[in-house]
Amino acid sequence: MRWLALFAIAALAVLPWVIGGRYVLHMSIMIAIMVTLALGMNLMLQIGQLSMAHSAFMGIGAYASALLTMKLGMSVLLTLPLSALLSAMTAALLGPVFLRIKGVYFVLLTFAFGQIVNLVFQEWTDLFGGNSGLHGIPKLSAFGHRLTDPAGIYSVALALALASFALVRAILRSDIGAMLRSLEADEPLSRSLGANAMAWRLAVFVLTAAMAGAAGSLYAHVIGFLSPAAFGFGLSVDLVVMNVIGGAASAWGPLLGALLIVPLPELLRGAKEYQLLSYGLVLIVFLLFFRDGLVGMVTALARRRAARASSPDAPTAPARADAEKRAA
Amino acid sequence: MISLVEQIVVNGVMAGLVYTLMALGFTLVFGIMRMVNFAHGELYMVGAFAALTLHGTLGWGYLPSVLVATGVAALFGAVIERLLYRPFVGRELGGMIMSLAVAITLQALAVIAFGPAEQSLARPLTGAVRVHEAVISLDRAMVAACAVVALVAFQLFLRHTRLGLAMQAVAQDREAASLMGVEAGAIYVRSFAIASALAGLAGALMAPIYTVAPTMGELPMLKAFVVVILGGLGSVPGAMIGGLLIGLSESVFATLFDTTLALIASFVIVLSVIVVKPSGLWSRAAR
Amino acid sequence: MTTAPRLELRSLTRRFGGLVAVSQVSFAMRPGEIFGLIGPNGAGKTTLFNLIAGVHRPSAGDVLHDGETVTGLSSEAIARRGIGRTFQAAHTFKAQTVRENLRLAALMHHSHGPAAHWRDRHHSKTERDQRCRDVAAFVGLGGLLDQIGGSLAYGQQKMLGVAMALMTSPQLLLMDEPAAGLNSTEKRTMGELISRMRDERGIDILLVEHDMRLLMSLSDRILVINQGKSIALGTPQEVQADAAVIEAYLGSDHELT
Repeated sequence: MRWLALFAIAALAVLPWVIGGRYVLHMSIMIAIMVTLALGMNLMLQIGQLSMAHSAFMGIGAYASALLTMKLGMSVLLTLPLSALLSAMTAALLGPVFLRIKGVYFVLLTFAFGQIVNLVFQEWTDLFGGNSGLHGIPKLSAFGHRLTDPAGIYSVALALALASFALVRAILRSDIGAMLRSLEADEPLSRSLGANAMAWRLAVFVLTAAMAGAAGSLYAHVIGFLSPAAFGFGLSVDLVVMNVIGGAASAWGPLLGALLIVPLPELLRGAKEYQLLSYGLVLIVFLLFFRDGLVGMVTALARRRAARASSPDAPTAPARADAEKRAA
Repeated sequence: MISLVEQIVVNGVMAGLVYTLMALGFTLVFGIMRMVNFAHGELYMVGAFAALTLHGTLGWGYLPSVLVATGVAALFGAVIERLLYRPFVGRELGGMIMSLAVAITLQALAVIAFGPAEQSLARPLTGAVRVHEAVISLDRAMVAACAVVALVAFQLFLRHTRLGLAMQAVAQDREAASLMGVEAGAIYVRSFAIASALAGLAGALMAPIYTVAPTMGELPMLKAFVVVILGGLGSVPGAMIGGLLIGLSESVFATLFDTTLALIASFVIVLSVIVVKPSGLWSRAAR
Repeated sequence: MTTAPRLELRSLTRRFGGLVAVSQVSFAMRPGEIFGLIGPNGAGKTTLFNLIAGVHRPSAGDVLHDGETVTGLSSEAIARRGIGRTFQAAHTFKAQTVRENLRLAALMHHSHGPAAHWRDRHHSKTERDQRCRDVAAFVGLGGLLDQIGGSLAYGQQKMLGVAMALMTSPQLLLMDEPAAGLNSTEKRTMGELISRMRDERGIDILLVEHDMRLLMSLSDRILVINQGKSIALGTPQEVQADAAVIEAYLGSDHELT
């Protein structure tokens, strides 16, 4: 099953090169960027925190990378990791304060933070260009060689997305993932055994902020133009939706979610009013009836098929099954 | 002569009253159902569009339109709670996400029904009146008056009716309340209807002041959110005092600086409050 | 030469607003001791326990472990010093198997943070797995390693909680009402386990318990608290005969034997 999924992903990843064309490649680049962000959101959800701050971390990475290349003439090769680092450092600074807050209040807190960052981008027009945007951001270039070919840009975006996917998947399947889930399941117990809850939460917060910063930097050089609207509440909502529809229990969920949600506005371009409506209705349906998302549906189907194949009573049900209780 | 200080205060109080109306519904729902309803602004929008339809399109009188619009919002709220929010009792994060979905859906429905453009509703009153050294436009004065009436009525309701007392009981301790025979489900749907009515009333009252559009609920929602965090999620007096405070502080910032800075200031306040005392400035020690 | 007491409390006090839950409690645990803590309902036992376990910060006074001040340390810092604790209600990772629960307990102890996890990356998996089996056998859950935690009987879940604490190799184990929710057979088993932990593994034990008979039979010494203050400290016999203790329990349902 797993090999089938990996093969499918490999095929999907290669598809844009095969089909070619600016439009398909641009869409694929955006999907890759969103996959990175959605994976970060997923990791936060695994530790029980719904963060509305990561759109701000993306924005910080984007504007930082744009300004470093425009004002200081640095190469994107340098600014991308630097932007990721800047977002990570912001998260490291705020984390000890923010992560003490849990549940609903954390959502509201990160929401407020995201709004502040967004408003600063809007207000400080000298530096960030305000609502009319920051224009003329140089495209990707490495060692003096400008990357203008969409296929080439896609390979960079794909590399980022694949690296993020591999990383998040490895974390979730490792002892770290088991600890994060158990920390979330019973924090007093975990701490009484010695687990440093804050250290782990901070690590996740900083890592996911770095991912968002890197994605933001890439975004800036792909689009060539930045406006604060791209890094607001709407983005955070989209990332949540990707995880709900895809499924929040594993790294596959946000991958699937991004694959579906990002092309949606384009696919439904004809009936734009109905696009938003179907978005909302699908989300409602999933929240009510398919809490574990599409990945959850697939896993349940696979499990049912396996159960029918072997004997009906299984006293040792897979322990991972209840990691689904995380998130929504 | 117009005194700047007085004008700022007057503007602030007027705005604050509307914020309080919005905040009250929001905080009520959280206090009783532990639910952060991101779709609260959309119920404001529903009230506004209902008023637009009744008064603007169908030509009903303004005040009857406002009353019926309030009822329409209450109905929407009741249905949404019963069908969509009820499954999320005890699941705060899931409920929050569901409210996001409801907000998206309601906005989309409004766009389909009324189109995305802004529409205006004729002002029921024109002219302005001088009060001491400030000027108040009559339509805003009426909004303020209606808001005050609603707030007073709400306080009386909360303290002197069985439903009001039951709501307070459930907000304080759900289990104890159920032991005393208060059925939580009936309380939830009614509280939600009342909260939605308050939001719808605010929307209907504000419809002629600004314009009516499917996205009009977003900003009032943000303001309500700021007020409620300041006053404490679930605190009715907090919402009242917080509403006036935010209205005043915004008036000051907006007049002396600009609105964006005012909004930044509001959110910085929110951030600080959540970090230092999440239960808000007016709540007793939180549960 | 004197060794520092395993656990020492000096005038430990905790106030909640206007209420004094624990008032100037002092005692010192001797090595190799099973130390009991008892008191009528609402006496402040749980608060005192939580102060020692790092769940609450004291308002005044000190807690010392092996002679070092640990006052106000977080519960994870206390755990890392070799002080384990069990909970009154059965706390386990209910979705995982018994084996996984024990493995996680060791993991949480050794890989308590990202840096620690990195340092611990070369630990022997076979060795740890063997430890899981040993500890499970020690508490009597040897045959249930593949059972899901949540599907165990309540008494077994509490045993699992003890086993998980044992996985962290504690020198001192704080037990919060280990017999709560157990039937008489399970209580007897738990009592035997507590004795064996002290006798066979050299673990000192601080025990808060409501069940008088169990406490009296296990403890070397007992501290009785009432209304936040300590009213008697001594052997079970001394405490049972103490006038103040008898008066505190007068009118309650408890018998002292």
